Order: sequence, then C-alpha cells, then structure tokens
Amino acid sequence: MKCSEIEELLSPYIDGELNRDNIIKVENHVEECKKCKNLLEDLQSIKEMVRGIEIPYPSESIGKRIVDYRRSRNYFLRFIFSTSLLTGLGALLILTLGHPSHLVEEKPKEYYIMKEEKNPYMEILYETEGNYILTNYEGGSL
Amino acid sequence: MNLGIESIYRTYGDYIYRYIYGMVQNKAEAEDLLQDTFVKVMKSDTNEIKNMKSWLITIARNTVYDHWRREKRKRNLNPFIRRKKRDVDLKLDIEREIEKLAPKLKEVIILREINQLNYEEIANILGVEIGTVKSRLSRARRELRISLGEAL
Repeated sequence: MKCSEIEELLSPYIDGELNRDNIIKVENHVEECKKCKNLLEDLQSIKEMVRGIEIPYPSESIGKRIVDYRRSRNYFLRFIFSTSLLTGLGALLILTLGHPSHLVEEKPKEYYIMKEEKNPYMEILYETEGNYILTNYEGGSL
Repeated sequence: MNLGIESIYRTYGDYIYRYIYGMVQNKAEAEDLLQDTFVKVMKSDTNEIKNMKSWLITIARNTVYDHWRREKRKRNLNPFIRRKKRDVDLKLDIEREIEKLAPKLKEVIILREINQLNYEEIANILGVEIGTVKSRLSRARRELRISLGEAL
C-alpha cells in the first residue's frame, strides 16, 4: 500500500475508527516505513496534547443564574396564567349572572310615605297624585 | 428523556461548557453562551430527546455560531468594535495552534478530543457524512503537526 493511502488511515487509526483489515494494513505498513511511523507518533502526541488541555469549570454562579432564570420565567408565566384565568372567570361570571350590580353605584331604594310625614330632612324624589310621595326615607313602605 | 433543567445542568453543564470554551476560548464569553444554551434548553420539550448529550451539543453549537454571526455583523457596522480577547496567557502552544485553525477544523478536534465523541456522533451533530468528519480530522491534525513543528 502507498504511503499516501496509509496517511489517510492514520488519523482514524488513532481514534479507533478503523475496521480490522485497515488496522492490519496500517500496522504492517508502519513497521516497514519510518516516515509513516513518525507521522503516526506525531499524531498520537497531538492527540495526547489536545486531551491534556485544561478546560476551566464554569463559575458556580452560572448554575444559579440558570435556575433563577427558570424561576423568574415560571413566576412570570404563573402571573400571566393566573391573570388570564381570573379575567376569564370574571367575564364568565358577568355573562352568566348578568349585570354586575356591585360594580356600579347603587341606586337608592324608593319608599312611599304619606304626604304629612314629609319633613325637611327627607330627600323627596317625586310626588304622586294621591297622598303619597317617593323618598329615600327608610321609614316608609317599599 | 424527562429531566428538569437543574438536573440537566448538573449532569451535562460542565460537558457542554467544555465544548463552548473550546470554541471561544474566553471564560466570560463561554459562560454567557452556556447560559444562553440552557435558556434555549429550558424553552424546549426534552421528553422526546433520545441522545441528550448530542442534542445539547447541537444547541450549544447553534448558540456559538449565532453569537459569532452577531459579533461579525456588529463589527461590520462598527469597525472600531474589537474582537473579544482570548485567554491567551493561560494557553499552551497546542491551544494557540488550535485557535488558528479554521472553525470547521477546530470544531472536529474539540468534539473528538475534548468531548470525546465518536465519528458517527460528530457527523450527526454537524449534519455531514462520517467521511467528512474523517477527512476534517485528518486535515486538522496535519495542520497542527505543521504548526507545532519543533514542539512535537
């Protein structure tokens, strides 16, 4: 086998990615060829050098930042979810129960009283033709 | 695989960081990108993921490439913005030479030696044929051999 063909096999050889036939071809060749043997040794050294590179560990705070981000996102989603849920329920209640009387100003109750019961402290709403007048005076009859 | 983000981070955080750091070679930048990667993971459905390690590397890889594209765009708009400094002081010859490789060659070396993935896993992550991984690794190592010269 030519050196150029073996050279192509050396890199997968050191990675353990060759089939049995090719492993035998490489091993037989490098026994005979000093140039390819040197190349193989250099590639192995490079592999060891790269594997020996010290990679720092990420700061402890990164893990915390990620967890905090998730929590804040969860709170945000929970807020959005609960707000929409409440709005939805409110809308449903209004639609089901009709006019939301508690949300508008309460109309005063109207009472009938005899004309002679009228005094200056009563708020007179209107008078009827008969003996009665309408007032918010609670002592009257509904 | 149904895991919470904390559990995924505890299991794979350092492993993914090794890939990102290998690619950008700057601790602060790598940490930001690690966080961005896990934010993306958080937004994804991890229930259907079969190979979590490869999937995470793919997300990290997209994050790194997006970051490089954004940086490049910024530099094009404003030529006075300088490239972030690598952690040069900490580097061995081999680290400096890896840094000089074309990104595609640097990447296969990192995936193979730092993340210790096999050719098939690398091919899946990069979306290329196994033959392409093989030839890129051969080329990367030959370039390193030339640049390291006497250091070998």
